[in-house]
Amino acid sequence: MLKFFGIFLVFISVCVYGNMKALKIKEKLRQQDGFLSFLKYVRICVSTNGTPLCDIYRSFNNDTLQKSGFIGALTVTDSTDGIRYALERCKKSVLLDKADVDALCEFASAIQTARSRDEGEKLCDKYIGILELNFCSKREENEKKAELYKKLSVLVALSSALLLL
Amino acid sequence: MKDQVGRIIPYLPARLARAVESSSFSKCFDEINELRLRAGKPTTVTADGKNLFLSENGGLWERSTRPLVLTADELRECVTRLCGGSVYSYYDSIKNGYITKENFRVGITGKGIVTNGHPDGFSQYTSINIRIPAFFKNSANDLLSYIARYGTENTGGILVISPPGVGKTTLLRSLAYSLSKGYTDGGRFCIKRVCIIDEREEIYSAEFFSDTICDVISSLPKGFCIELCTRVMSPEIIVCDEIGNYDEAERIKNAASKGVLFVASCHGKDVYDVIKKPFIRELFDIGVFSTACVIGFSNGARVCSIKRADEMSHA
Repeated sequence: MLKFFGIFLVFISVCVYGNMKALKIKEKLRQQDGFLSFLKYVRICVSTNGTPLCDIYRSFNNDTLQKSGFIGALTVTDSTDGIRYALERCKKSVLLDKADVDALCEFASAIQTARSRDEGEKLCDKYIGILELNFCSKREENEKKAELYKKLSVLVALSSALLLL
Repeated sequence: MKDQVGRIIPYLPARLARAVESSSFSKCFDEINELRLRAGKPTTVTADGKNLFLSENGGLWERSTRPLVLTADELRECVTRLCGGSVYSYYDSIKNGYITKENFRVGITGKGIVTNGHPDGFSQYTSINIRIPAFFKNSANDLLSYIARYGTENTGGILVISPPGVGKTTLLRSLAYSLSKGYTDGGRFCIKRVCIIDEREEIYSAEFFSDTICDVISSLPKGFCIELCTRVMSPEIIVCDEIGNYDEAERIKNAASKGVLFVASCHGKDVYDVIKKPFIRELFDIGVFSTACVIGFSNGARVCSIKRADEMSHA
C-alpha cells in the first residue's frame, strides 16, 4: 500500500513540476505582451498630448504587469526614472530576459530627455521595434517549450511510475 | 522665502543641492532672489540685487574664490529634473526659454536649434536662472494706500514699471491678492472679481490665493487669455505681467473698452522710458492706464513711486 502511495506521489510531483515550468513560460509570454502594450500606451500619451511620464505611469493598467508588481512599483515611486526603479524592485517576478530588461532601462533613460513629442514618439517606436523583434524571435520556441514541458512531465511521471512498479 | 528655496532643492544637481542645504547658505535664504547655474562657469546667487559667488561648501562671496562650477551634464540633469523626467512635455515653454515649476520661473539659455527657420529649443544648456518667487502679502502696501485714498475710479488702470528682477511680479501678486481678498477703495471696503492672466505660471499660486475670490488662466498666450476671460468670466480687474507687444496692447484696449480695469507690468527704468514704446504710450493716451507705479532702489531699499498720468503729461 505504502509503495503505491509513494509511486503516486512521484507521479504527481513530476507532473506538477512540468506544468509549473510550462505555466512560467506562458506567464513570461503574457508579460512580454504586457510590456509591449505598456510601451504602446506611452507612445500614444506622448504623441497625442505630451503627458508627463509620471502621469502616464499612473494611468496605465494591465492585469499581468499588475500581478508581477511592476505597476505597483512604477506608481509608488517619485523617481523620474520610474521604469528602471520598478524593474529593479520586481527582479524576481518580472520574467523577461536580461537583454529585454536592459532595452527597457535604456528606453526609460532616453525618453526622459526626449526634447519634443516627435522625438519621444520616435524613441517609443524604436524600442517597441526592438522588443517586438526580441519577443517574436523567441515566441514560437517558448510556446513549443511550454507544450513540451507539459507532455514530457506526464511521460517522465508515467515512466518513473512503471519503473517503480 | 525659506520654504521657497527649500522647495527647489530636489531639482538641483547633487553638488549644488549640498551647497544650498549647507548651514552657511541657509542663513541667507531670506535675501536670495535668484540662483544662476552656468556650464563650466561659477555658480552665482543674486541677493538683494548683488551678485555673489557660491562656493562648494555653500559660502557666498563677493569675489570669485573657489566657486562652485557645474558641468553641462549637471545642467542637463537639472533641466530633466525640473521637467519631472519628461522634457518633451515642456517642449513649448523650453522653446521660449523657460520652465515653470511650482511657481519658480526658470530661465534657460544655451545652444539653440532652428527648425524650418523657427527657434526649436536647445541642443545644449549653458545657463539656468532659477528665480525664487516672493510670496509677500504686504508688498503692495504703498499702492493699496494710494487706492484707499483715491479709489480705483480715480486711479484707473495701473501700470507697474521696473527693470527686470526688482519685484514687479511680487507686487502684482500681492496687489491681486488684496484686491480679491478685500481692500479699502476710496474709503469703502471692496472685494473685486480679479482675473489673473498668468502666461508663464509665475503670478498665481493656489496656496497663496486660497482665501481670495480671484480666477486664473495660465499657460496660454496673454492676448488670447485677455479676450477669453473678458468674454467668459466678466472680471472687474484683470492682472497680467509684462505687456510686450502691439497685439497684447490691442487686446487690452478692447477689454478696457468693455469696462475692465487693468493692472499690468512693463519693463523699464521709469515712466518716460516705457512711454517711448508707442503701444504703451497709446494705452496711457486713451486712458487704459491712468496711474504708473515705478519700483526702484534708493539707498539699498526698494521704493515704489506712484504717478498719475496727468502728472506726467509733459513727457
